[in-house]
Amino acid sequence: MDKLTWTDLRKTVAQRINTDEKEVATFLNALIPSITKALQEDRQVRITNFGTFKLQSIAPRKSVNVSTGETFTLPGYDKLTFAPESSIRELIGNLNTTDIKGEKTASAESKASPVDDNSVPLRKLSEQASEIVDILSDLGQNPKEPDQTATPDETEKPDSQPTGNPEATDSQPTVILPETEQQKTEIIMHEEQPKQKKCRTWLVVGITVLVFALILAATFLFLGNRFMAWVENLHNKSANIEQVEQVPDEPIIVGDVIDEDAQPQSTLPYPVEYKEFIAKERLPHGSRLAWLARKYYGERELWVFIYEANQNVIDHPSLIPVGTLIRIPKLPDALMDYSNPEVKELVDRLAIEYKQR
Amino acid sequence: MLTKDLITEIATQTGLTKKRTEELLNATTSIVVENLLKGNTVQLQNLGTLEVKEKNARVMVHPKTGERKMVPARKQLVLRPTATVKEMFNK
Repeated sequence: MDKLTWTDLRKTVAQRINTDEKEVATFLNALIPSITKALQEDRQVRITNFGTFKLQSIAPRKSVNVSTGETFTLPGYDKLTFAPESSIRELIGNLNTTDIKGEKTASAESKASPVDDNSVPLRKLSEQASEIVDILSDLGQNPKEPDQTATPDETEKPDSQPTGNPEATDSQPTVILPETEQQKTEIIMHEEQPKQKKCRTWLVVGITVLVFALILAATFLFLGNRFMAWVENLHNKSANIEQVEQVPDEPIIVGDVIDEDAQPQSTLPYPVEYKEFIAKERLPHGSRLAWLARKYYGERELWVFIYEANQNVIDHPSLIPVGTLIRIPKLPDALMDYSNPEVKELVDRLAIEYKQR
Repeated sequence: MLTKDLITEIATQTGLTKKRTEELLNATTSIVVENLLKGNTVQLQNLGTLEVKEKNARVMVHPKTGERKMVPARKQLVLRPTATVKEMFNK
């Protein structure tokens, strides 16, 4: 890692284009001041096949003195940055990273793929299952293999039997198989019986429901007229009660509605007439209305009011020429309170409206 | 400001021809880049030093899907401005 100093640069450039160092020196001595000058004017200098020198504006921000707990604002400033052209950036990005780094990335990759590690035992299990099935089918080498989709109970049982006499001769499987078949049939029988029971219970339930329905219908037919009359009576009574109850309620409800309608109007003096102004500020480079809002109101979202007050100067809230004189209006306290949900709602609505212009 | 403007600016300041200044500028930039690619740091007087910085590999999280990805280690070109320049642009 060497350092190419200013003088080194001068020498190498002179060698490259076969001139004396004086000419190069005059050029280089003019280069940096002209770049800084251009930065101050335009804030960025783009040099082809090299990159862009840029001034990045850092917004002022609030901070707290750790020892005293006082809040104070750190002033904003401009930072000089250099963004190389994409081709150069790629060239540098592809520079050989050291061997240690390669190891690092390798280990990181292995760490980053824990899913594969987890999936390995899972696969093994599935493999085992298939293996077990294979073994079972091997054991049951007989033409009667319709029940290959064996239930787990079955698979376990034959499994235990061969382990009991693992060195069984060829004759023994034939002995085992009938047993397993018997078991199967027994299991099937056991399964069928509950099914039948279930069916019966369902039938019983259905029939009872039907009977009840029929009885109900019959009662309706017979007693329908009387019943209807009774119901009507009930209705009339309840309606009377309701009417009685509603009479005192009505004015209260109406009153509530009126209050709700009136509240936003009374609390939020929204259509503000911007007459008083706290401050005037020329919009600095890289600044935005939101920053001014934060500076003067303490909340970024309140920029909409600044925009409203300056609509004669600003066309679109995000397209403001640098140096525009912006007047910061004095807001009523009710609008300054951003924690108030009504204010938030209003501000959000206005923001959407103004951004769409 | 673009390269053209810079060249005219320098040419008017120094009295060199535009062609010559362009050649000089191209030579300097190419030399600077070559040195950077070798891993050298380059001092630009009164402006700062250009150096290649190593960025460690890190885990990137996709903000929408929550997907995690490794961003491999890479190198980046960084300008460290000098104190005088910092002060010059300080508001």
